[in-house]
Amino acid sequence: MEKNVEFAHKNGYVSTIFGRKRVMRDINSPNYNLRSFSERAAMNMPLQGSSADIIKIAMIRVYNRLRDENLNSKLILQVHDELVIDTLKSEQPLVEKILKEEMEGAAELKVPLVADVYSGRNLSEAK
Amino acid sequence: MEKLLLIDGNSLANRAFYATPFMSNSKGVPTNAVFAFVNMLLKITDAEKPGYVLVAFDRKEPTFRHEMYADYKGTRKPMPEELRPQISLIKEVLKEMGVSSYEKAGVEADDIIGTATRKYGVNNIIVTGDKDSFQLVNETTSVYFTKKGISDTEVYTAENFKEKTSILPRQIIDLKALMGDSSDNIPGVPGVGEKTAYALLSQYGTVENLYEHVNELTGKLREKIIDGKEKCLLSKVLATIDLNVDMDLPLEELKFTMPLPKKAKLKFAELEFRALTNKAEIYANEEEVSAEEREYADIPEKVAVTDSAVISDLIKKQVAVSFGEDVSVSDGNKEYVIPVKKSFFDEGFNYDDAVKMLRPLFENENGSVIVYSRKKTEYLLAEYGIGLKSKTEDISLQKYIADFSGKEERENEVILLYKLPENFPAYSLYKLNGILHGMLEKNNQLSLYYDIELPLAKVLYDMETAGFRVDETIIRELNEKYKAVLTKISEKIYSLAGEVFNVNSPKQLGRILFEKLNLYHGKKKKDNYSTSADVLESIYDDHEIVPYILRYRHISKLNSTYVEGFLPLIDKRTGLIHTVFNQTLTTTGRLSSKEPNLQNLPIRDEEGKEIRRFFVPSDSDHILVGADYSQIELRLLAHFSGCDKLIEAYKNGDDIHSSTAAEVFGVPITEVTKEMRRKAKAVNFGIIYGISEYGLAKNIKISPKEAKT
Repeated sequence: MEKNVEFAHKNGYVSTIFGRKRVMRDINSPNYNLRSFSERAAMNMPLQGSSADIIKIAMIRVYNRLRDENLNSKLILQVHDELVIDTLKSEQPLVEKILKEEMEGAAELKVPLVADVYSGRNLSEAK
Repeated sequence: MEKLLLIDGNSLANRAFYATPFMSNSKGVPTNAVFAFVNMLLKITDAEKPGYVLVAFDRKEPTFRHEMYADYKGTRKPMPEELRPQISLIKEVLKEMGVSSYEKAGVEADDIIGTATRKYGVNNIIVTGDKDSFQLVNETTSVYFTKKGISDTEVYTAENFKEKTSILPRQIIDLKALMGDSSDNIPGVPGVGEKTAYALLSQYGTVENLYEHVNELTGKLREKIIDGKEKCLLSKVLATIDLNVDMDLPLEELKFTMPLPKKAKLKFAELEFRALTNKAEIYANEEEVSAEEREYADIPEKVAVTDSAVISDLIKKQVAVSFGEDVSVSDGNKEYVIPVKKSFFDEGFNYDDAVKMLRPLFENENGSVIVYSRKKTEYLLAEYGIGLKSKTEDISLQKYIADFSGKEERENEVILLYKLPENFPAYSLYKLNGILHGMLEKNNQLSLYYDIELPLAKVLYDMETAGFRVDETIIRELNEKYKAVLTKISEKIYSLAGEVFNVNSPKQLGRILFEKLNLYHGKKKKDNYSTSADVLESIYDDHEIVPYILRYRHISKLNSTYVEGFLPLIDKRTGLIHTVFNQTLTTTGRLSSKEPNLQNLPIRDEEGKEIRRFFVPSDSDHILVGADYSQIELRLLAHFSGCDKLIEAYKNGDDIHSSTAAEVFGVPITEVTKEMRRKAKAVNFGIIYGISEYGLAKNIKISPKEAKT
């Protein structure tokens, strides 16, 4: 993580795995509060930003897969790190499979991505 | 008679700086003084309609006054770091606004203004926050004195001067000669203060006359006046504004005209003064200034479209489309404008016919159309039954990725920001596509754009239009329940407080907590106690009432945002809620959504679960299937840190916090205690959410030094 901060000090920005950048204009500020705020942001932006990138990629993959397989089920919600599909009951097994595959395959990290699938008649039951 | 507005630039900039909260644009350039200065200037010119304006500035070189008295202005504090660059910015802005400014080595802004008031034979209005200028007041010269801040001004004229100050304008100099002026470090007569000075002036008129009659004085005062003579006369010279500065500045050069030239708008856009940029009425008519615009951008030929054949001819080219008052299309060479009728009698097309003319462009699968926002365009086209099948380029997304300013921007704002001609929007979008593509390519962000953000715009459109169903009965039930809970909690709060009051009112709550119950209140802001969550958390254990208040607030917020707040969002016909995603808002790249804001939906606690019960499948043939990433940010932490043990732990499916604990505390994973795991977990999340060493230390109760390692 120190690497991110060091990089930010040198280049004035940090970036995610997928090249999203955030400019850190206060990273070398003489003002301690501004600087340390930027330093912390430099540490966590690549994490939060990369996770944002990943959920976006997952949304596109899931969407395309539902379309390509001619399914009637629809992607309807994205909340935090969670995707929800309004699923035709007959398509449920396939949708569960698609969600798991496309979410877990959204990015290749040094560690595996894991998506936990659930279902229910409402979002609370489903969890 | 014509009016000349004379502004003391430094004085007004200073006022503007201190009167407004600090503000800077997305490039980090401080701009609050500039913004307030410009607003002030526009307000006065609007009210007074002067034919001429001159803004005078001080220079850093010593003036003749410093040569006479080395300590002149010796007590001045240096200009704040955040103000200095704004002075030169103000000068740049004035230039673009067509306002003259003037400065000269060796003299002060006051002297320039003073000379100007006696030079041109016009009516003068001086704007300043410095009382020195009062000496300039005469039949043709009045002073707008900025009292507090910048908008609160008091006008001093020849008529009202005596009444307001009890002396004559020229006596201001004598007054200073006697009592001095600490802000300019003018000494005056030692021992003589304001009251004595006024009394002496009312009797003797001037200091010269005073010294002629000094023998009439008695006692200590006489001594003081006699001893202070040298300082007094020096002070008088220092305080006298020079009315004869040699300046080659014909009145014609000070001419000021409204509306402002277009380049002023471009400058405001560059500084991100959105409110000013959007004030259309203050800028000259577009057509009239096109010559000046040519300085900034090459201007395309404008072609008025009369039939759809012109548009169909463009089908083979990449084009940009802008939907404004008129609908325009550009191939990068010309701006084709489909004129839209503004009223029944106007020439042109109805709006829907104009949009429908674009059908061949948007429904051509091999075509490529540049628009400002793909999602918004798709909504608009759908309204007229047109599908969006062509490839698209989305300028708002390109800008978000390549050059994010930290806030949402509109089409015309981005066009202005890149100094493109606003009245040729389609042409400007075409150019922007080229410019931003260049930036994306240079930053290696083409894939982020083409593989993630751009296709996502289509996904989001479909998600928004699909909507999701909520169970209104359950929402209403929960609403009733929450209302009952709130009543119960508030009754408990009243009994603990010993009186009934409005828990939602920070003022009443502050009084109860910090006056009646005498709890520790931290800093007071302008006589109001803060009852922020931070403050309440810090006194959580000090009184039984505090946890109830926090609980009350939590439930109340949930209820208003997610329970009651959901009801008006339900589409009456379909029973669906259609959230609106915003793809270009956050600095981290996360999506945001409103109506409702799904990203803040509580998940973990009991209440969160209750709220999640509202979300139901579209009908009885459907079921909700969801999935969420397990510990995605921790996994990314492992990925970024490259820490072999963490990576190994994930590959083995071990508990990650225990593994971290084993690592941090240097014990085998089997010997990790619950306490160790708890601390390790806080460390992991601390890094993800950017908590400082201090925050972390506080959370897990260890020393900051320990936290840092």
